Amino acid sequence: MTKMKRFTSILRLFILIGLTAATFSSCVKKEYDEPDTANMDPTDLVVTHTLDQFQNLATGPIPVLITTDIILSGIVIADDESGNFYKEIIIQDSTGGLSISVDISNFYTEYPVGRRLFVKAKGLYLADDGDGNFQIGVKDNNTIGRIPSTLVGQYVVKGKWGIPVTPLSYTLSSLGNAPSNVLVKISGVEFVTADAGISYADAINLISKNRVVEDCSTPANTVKMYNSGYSKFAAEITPSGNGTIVCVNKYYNGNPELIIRDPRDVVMNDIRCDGTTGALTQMPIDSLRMLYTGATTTCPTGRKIKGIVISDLVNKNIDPKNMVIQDGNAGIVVRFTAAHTFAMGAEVEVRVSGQELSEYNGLLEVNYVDLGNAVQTGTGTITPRVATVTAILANLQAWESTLITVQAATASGSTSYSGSNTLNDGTGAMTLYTRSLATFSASALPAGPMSYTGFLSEYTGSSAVPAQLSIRTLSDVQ
Amino acid sequence: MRSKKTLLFILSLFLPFLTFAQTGTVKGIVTDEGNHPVNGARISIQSTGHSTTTDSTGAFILKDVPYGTQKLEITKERIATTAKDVKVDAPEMTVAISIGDQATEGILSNSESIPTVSLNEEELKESSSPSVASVLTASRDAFVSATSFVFSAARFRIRGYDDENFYTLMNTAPMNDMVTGRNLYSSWTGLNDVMRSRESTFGLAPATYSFGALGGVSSIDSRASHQRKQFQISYSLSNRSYDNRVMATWGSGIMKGGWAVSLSYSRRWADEGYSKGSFYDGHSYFLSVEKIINSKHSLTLTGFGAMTKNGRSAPSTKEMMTLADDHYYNPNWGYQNGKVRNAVVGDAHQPVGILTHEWKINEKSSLETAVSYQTGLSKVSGLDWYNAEDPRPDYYRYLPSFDPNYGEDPASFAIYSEQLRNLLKSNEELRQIQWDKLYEANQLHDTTINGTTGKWAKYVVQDRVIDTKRANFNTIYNRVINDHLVFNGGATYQSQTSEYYKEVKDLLGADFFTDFNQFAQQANPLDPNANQNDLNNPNRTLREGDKYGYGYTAHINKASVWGQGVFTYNRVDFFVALNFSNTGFYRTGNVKNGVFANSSFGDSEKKSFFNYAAKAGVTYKANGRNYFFVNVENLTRAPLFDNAFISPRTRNTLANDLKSETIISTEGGYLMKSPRLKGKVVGYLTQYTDGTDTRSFYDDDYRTFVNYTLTGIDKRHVGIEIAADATLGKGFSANAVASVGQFFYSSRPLATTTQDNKDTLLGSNETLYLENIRLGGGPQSAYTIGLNYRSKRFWFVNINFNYFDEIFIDANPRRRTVSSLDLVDAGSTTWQQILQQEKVDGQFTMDASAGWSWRMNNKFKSLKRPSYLVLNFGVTNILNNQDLVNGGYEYSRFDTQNKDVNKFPSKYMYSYGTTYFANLTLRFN
Repeated sequence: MTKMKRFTSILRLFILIGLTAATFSSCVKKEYDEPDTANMDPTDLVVTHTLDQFQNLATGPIPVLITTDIILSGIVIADDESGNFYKEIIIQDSTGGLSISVDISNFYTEYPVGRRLFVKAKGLYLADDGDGNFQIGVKDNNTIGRIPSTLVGQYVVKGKWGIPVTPLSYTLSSLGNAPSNVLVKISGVEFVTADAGISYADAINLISKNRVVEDCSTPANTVKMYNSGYSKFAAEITPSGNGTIVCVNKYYNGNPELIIRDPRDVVMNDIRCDGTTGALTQMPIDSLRMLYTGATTTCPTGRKIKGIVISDLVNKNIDPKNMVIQDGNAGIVVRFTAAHTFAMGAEVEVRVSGQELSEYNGLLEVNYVDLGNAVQTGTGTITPRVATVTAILANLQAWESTLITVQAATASGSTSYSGSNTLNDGTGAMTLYTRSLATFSASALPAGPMSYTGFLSEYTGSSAVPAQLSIRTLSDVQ
Repeated sequence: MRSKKTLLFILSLFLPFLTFAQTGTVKGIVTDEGNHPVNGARISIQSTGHSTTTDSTGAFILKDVPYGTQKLEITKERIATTAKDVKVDAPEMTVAISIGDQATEGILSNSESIPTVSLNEEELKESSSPSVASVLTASRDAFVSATSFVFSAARFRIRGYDDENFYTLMNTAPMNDMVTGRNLYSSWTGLNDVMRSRESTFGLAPATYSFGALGGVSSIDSRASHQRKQFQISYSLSNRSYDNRVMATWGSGIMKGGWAVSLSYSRRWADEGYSKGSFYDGHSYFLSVEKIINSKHSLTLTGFGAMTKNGRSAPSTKEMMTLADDHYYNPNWGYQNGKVRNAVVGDAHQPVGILTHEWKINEKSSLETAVSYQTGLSKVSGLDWYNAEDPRPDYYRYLPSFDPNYGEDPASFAIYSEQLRNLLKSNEELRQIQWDKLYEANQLHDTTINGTTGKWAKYVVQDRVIDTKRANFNTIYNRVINDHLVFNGGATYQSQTSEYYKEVKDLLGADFFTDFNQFAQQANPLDPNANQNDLNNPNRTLREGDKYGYGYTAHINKASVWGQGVFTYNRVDFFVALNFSNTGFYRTGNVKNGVFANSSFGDSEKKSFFNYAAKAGVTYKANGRNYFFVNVENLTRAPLFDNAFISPRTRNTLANDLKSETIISTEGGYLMKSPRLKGKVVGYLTQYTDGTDTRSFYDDDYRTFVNYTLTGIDKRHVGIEIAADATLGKGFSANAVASVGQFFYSSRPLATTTQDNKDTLLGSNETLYLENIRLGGGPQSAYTIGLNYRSKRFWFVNINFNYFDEIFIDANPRRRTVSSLDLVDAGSTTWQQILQQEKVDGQFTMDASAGWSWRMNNKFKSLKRPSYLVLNFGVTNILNNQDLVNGGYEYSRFDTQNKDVNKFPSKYMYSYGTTYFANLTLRFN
């Protein structure tokens, strides 16, 4: 036998072994069948009570244990896809509605709007929270608590999905007659002026907000709309026109309260009761500054401004409630009522309707702005204006709150950035101001002439030169 | 000046031993029973320390052998050690040695044929504390042999070292991954037959082929001329990670014209491994072609790879294990249409090609050079979801211990909790992934995204992919300078790129998925770009096979040179070795993350580290049987890529103050090598200083992925190793091994805490109170006593009794901070609960194995070549002790509000109960 022959016979043997092994091991094929997801109701459950009949078993706010084999059925009218509802599934039948308290977040993946559910109520508790809102769940002292996630399937049986849900029509004056936890449609309504064109809730601090809805009667009927700070649409802007709302009706302190599933439930494109569109007009920052009369001024209604943030909250050389925004050649300080999260370079729209325009030690601000009035619309950059100190001192009022670069300037005063130092470029001297809370405040001032970029402020509250340049980070000094 | 004096003083101490005696040269040829020359056999004289290896003609030369009767030991993989007494009484003499008669060759020793490693290498690789046992497998040291086979079932780690402290060469090419520093055992898994020939050096001792690593170094020689001329086929049956193995290997031996060819193939599979839901499906292949050009040059091309798919198991909480009544509860699988499906499947194929050139320059010097290349994908799948419930069945909120109503009504909670407990105990489906539910969720929602309308997946199966390409160059030069000095040295260059990304593997019945980041959206509610994983391709809809999520490439290169002098005298041996290296790395972001638009895309800063390592050691040979030695090493080590970036998945930002780690290690002790008793007592101490580590986890408090970058980590590994191996006569032998260690943090590291989804720093240089906390993973102490019987009738049996102790659960740094202890009374029960580290109970186990070999030629006269049938059987953990924890960790989250250490309970891994491995081999020489 030659070596070559032996080699080929060995090869053949290897192939044979491989094939045999493959045959023996075909059991480890890992292809998976897709399961059937049949769209049908369970066949073994017979409804014993309507939701209205079931609610009659409640004796008030103290939870009542259901001890008999009660079967309920209803169609999901609200889920938590947008996050406005949280851990409560709302079902409705022709007689009323019921809230099921479950410990599942994102239950919409299993129990979406339009799916019929069957509830095996035995073993659960029922209560009326005192306002006529009926809820089923486990006992949690004197209220209804959430059913543990993995137990929900023992009580709630899933049925057919994709069933259309038609809301019941009401007006604001007749809404008080509607049952709780049912889907209603209200026409001819609008957000009150103060709540139109602002965010649904406070997405930054995750604080829920009530926004007021009114109709066109005189005096207008009003109702509160509750919006969760955790909802995905919390930062979206309420529409300014007039139209319809589809929502779940609940009662709070005896009054109806509206809860939408998501902003698609709000369609308000018509002319408002006062004949206007209610839309906000964007005004240049330049024009807004000109409205300042020298004393505290109120901004006109229906207006917004837009600019790029040139201050930096990360390195803290600005008050956490303040941001400096610039549009074109003009800028302004927006002072919020709470700390904001708008990063440097964010493009931000701010509703200024009716806001206070005032000076703080010479620096012009839009003051007391609710965080809901501002929304980020994108990102952008501002090219700093290169200027001498002399030119800055001459144009302080016009250039205030804009981005400026001073070249070949020497900083002096203390050894570190912290506090008021002097910045001299040979043409004149101004103040280089750094808050002691800034992350870089303890860094040493550079010795030689450098280029300094920052936002320009005015501060008349000390003996230093009122024209102040504030850098954002150390990389602003080159 | 002073150090010079000290050196002179030390040298003068050695002078008395530098005596010279009359010596001679021993030449010889080693052949096997078929009279084939045996290549690569090691010839050594233990009492004098002489050692050499045979060349392809089987020839060897030992010079300067003292006159007198010397015992030559001939060792070759898979052949039991043969000894031959040679009387040296002439300046030059020749001996002929034949090895491999049936008495020694037919039976494989227990340790070489029956791997008791009960976790496969993929699992080891994934866990934070892999076993390093297989690096040093071939060593004949009783201690290493015990740790490799007996102790590895408990995930014992030699000296508590991570795998990056060991180093492996294959045919002269380095085999370590440069991102993790770990050895790529998975590349040659299943090729046991051709990987047996290896040389290993333990600890800091000098190796002739590498500067070495703290734990040891191993050089595998799989070149075709070093494979035996034979054909062998085997079938194995087991119940560990795989159930069946078929392996076939053929070696041509050295053919006419100096050619040699070796082939090997193995197939391993299991429909279900030891733990439920795990499966195994692996093919491994190997080809080596060698041309021995002349007596000086040989060239070998070796190619091999392992294609492995396996369903993984995962550690879990005690609560789940109690509900399932199973310490091997595996949360990774679930029923789909009534069939078991595992969500976490590893799928790797990273073939290697090596070209090796061996040049015997002259009798005194040689040069070995290799270039190699490895490329391929390594994937691990898992569930991914978007705006949906966590699908993992052991998520803490789904368990009976979790009260969704904040503990306000304990009586009510007790009732529903009990109901849930009973439900989960009786309903296996609810304890596992509910695939059918995931498919249903994907059916319910028709949506239009970016112009695509269809079913938007809530759940998908993702693959986390690593696409690695690595080129290596390595050369080793050895030269005998004179009778007392051997120089070894070499140079290495390695360059690796590894691309990391996620890929949609299975849409689970939906039409598309999206490249959105839900966590970033929640963290930055006002930033419209935050939810974009890639701003360069915004709002992308994904089909199966599409890349998504993170995307980055690690670029690493390293150049090093080393040299070593080994001095040998009658009474004293000593060595000095030096190594210099330069490591450079950078990250390239392949996607522009919406949150880190300015720091995620493109190249990061390029970091470069210059490092040195120096080691030296001395052995005093009191006589041929008693040795005392001390070795010391000092080195610096560049931070690993994975630890250098605060969040490699999202951005190019490097950890602050990045520096090399400094390590000092010393070992020393007594060795005994007498014919009937071999033993050692060795103490070691290794101090790591200024290490860097990055860990990531999802944090409920911040509702985002959080990265902890730890700097200033000091660790100490201290312990003692004792081993004894006694020949009792009449075929009996016994051995005993003890390894007693303490591996712990010796500093309070600093943590800088960053988020994956936001630019805000959560904490900076926070002190972690970790000093004296033990390192997690595996027992720190292990003991075994073994009894062996080897019959002259070609069978053996052995039994081992083992004890594992000092097992600690890996500590969560987050728990040991001032903020975690805020408002807690110092010394109170809560205080102690928070700071305390869990130690689990020590456990006994028992193993046994047996083997039998039969030379078939006696029965079947028609067989021309020597042919054997070999049967092996091993049982690990005979007593089925299922309580041996071999690893575990405290959850990375901590309930800072309520200080409840049980809110996020620790997870545990247990060593397998009784497992077996049976093997039948047919061999034709």
